[in-house]
Amino acid sequence: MSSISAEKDTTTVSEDTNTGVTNIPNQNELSSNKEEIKRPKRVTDDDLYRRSSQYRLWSFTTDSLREKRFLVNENATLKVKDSLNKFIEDKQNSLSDIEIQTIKSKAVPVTPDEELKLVSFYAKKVQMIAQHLNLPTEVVATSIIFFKRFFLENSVTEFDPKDLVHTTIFLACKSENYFISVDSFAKKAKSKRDEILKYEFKLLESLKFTLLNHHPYKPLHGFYLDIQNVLHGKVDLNYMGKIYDKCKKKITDALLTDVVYHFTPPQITLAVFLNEDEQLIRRYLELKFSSTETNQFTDSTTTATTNNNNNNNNNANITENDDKKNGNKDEENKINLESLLNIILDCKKMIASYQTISTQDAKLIYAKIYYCKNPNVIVQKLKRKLEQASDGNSNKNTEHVDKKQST
Amino acid sequence: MNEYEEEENKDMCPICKTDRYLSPDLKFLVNPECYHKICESCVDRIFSLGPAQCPYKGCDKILRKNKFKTQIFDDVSVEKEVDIRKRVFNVFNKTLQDFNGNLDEYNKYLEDREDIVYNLDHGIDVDKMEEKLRTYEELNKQLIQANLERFKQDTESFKQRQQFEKEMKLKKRLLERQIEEEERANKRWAKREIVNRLTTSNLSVDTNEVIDSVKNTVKLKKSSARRKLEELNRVLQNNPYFGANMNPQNNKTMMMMMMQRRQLEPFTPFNGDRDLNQRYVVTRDQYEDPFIQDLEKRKEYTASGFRVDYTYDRLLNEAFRGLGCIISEELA
Repeated sequence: MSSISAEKDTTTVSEDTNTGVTNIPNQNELSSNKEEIKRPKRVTDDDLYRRSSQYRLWSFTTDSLREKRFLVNENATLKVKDSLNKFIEDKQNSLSDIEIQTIKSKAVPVTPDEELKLVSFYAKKVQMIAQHLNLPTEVVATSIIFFKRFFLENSVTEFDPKDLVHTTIFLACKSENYFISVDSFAKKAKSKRDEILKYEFKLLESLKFTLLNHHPYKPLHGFYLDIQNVLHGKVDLNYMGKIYDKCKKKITDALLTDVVYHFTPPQITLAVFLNEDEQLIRRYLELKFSSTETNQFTDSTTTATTNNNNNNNNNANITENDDKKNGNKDEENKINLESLLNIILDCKKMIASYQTISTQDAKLIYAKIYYCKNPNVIVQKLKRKLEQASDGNSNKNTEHVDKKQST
Repeated sequence: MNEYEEEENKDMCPICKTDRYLSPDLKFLVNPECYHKICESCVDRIFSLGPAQCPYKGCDKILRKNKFKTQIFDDVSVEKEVDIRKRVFNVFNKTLQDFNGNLDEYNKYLEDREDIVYNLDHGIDVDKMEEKLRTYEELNKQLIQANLERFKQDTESFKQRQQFEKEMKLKKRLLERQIEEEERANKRWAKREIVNRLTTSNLSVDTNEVIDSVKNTVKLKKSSARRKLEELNRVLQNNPYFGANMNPQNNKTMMMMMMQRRQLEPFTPFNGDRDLNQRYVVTRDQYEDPFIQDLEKRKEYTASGFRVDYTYDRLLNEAFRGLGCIISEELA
């Protein structure tokens, strides 16, 4: 049956392109029968990014992202509660009141926040393992992104993040054209072939079969070149090289945060750059985007000279004029320096807010999930404890014992 | 037990125990009721007098002789599915045109059809599915008939076209061979003519002149075969759809398509022309990039088409692609 749905997908996609194409002649017919073709809007590079799966499927506003996480968590919690209730009902007779109470107190479904923490803990793990395996930077980045996207679609209560660490890295290798056979990968990662492949299809499905990622590394290189051009002679090349290397490392860390959902790769790159040398980047952006705009005016408008005079007179007028002109012409492709800076600063803030999750925290959350899945364990532990207590070992440090066992 | 035997001896009829060794022209038949394999002579023997029970132990299906057919696929389950598919598709035979090009509706229709096939194949709600099939057939009798007719016509015209193409190719090949032969003959004649003329003429004549004049006459001799071939090619070019062979209705749709194609814009990979105002300029000599510059000096890279400026262009393009997308505003 899956083949049918796949077929359906492709047909619906083709429908999109079809309508896109067939609309054009209709417009022509309406306007005139002659060969006078009214050109559709030009496709800018930004438009191309808007067509990417990264933008269409994997970009969110902060609200929609929160909502998505909440929904995934809610679904999972409902399932957990159902199974717990069933467990208690099934063993109604054999369970004592204390046991039921402890189950209810220990087997608490995780909150979206806790879920997010656990995912980011394991995302860091993915990064560390992938780097330990000496994989190229882009493969490391892709595996982090894949891992995060998987747990954006699925809950940690349903899939143990441990099981997916190797699977995502392996799939990332394949999708980034860095092929390693399963067996040699399993050997290197000290895992098992079946374990790696077990969830591979589920992973692909959750990724909605979108495997191409736009990472900030290429933009980093691009900006490295463009800064040299714009600030020619004003910047030390050795220094630039050093910054480039630093930023490359920082980018991988930035991918662990939510910026990948809220910002485009060039924006992330600039934020990382800005974090490294704010003055340099500010100067670069000012030169780059304010000067080109005024140049544009001298080329295109007849009243440019008067405008220029105004420019010289007072600065406040410039921005207003610029904005108006931008609105009049279809120059959406032009970049507003101010809003760009705001975006970049937001992005920088978000990167800086990243907190590493301690192993202790992660273990506590993990234990919760484990209890939810296996309420049996709680009962057994309780029994053991009671036995110990009745044996005469009046060790009432039950909590302490419990913690030890859970970890 | 039965299965075991079957696997044990694929070439033996389980009813009369004849096998291929003794009668080499043994043929097996199956009946779509139960897909049990029975040899031809057994079918003749058992079912000649009318419908009878399947001779397999434990199978109580009543079989008729006229329903028996040769098995095409080795795997019975495949055979069964193909049969079901054929039957269902003959009834559910609407095409995209019947939906006036509404892809969603058509996809839904296909999905329904696939569900019926799947259920019939796996024995889920068979009665209900049969009922569905029957009612659909009743309701859409005319349409089904019309579609079947159309399929028939399509396949026929396709066959005709193929036939036509084949003939044309054959003709072409013949002509080509003829031309080749003529050319060879011409060459031979030219050689002889040159020698003849040189022997008969006096010394004052320039040898080169003689040779040239002979060659010219050869060139002017454009054979009739060549002319024919050119004509044939022209016919093939001007008539890519072999309009003569199409029925008028199809011809019309073809014309429509041609018209539409002419009206369409030239193909652009991005569904529209690229914006040529880039946010960057590639200025090679300004860049100091030891990594890429090193690559340029290595033969194995340049040989396989590595160009530094392309690389720069790509990097810069990626740097500015999506810079103006404000996700928080656009997706809100």
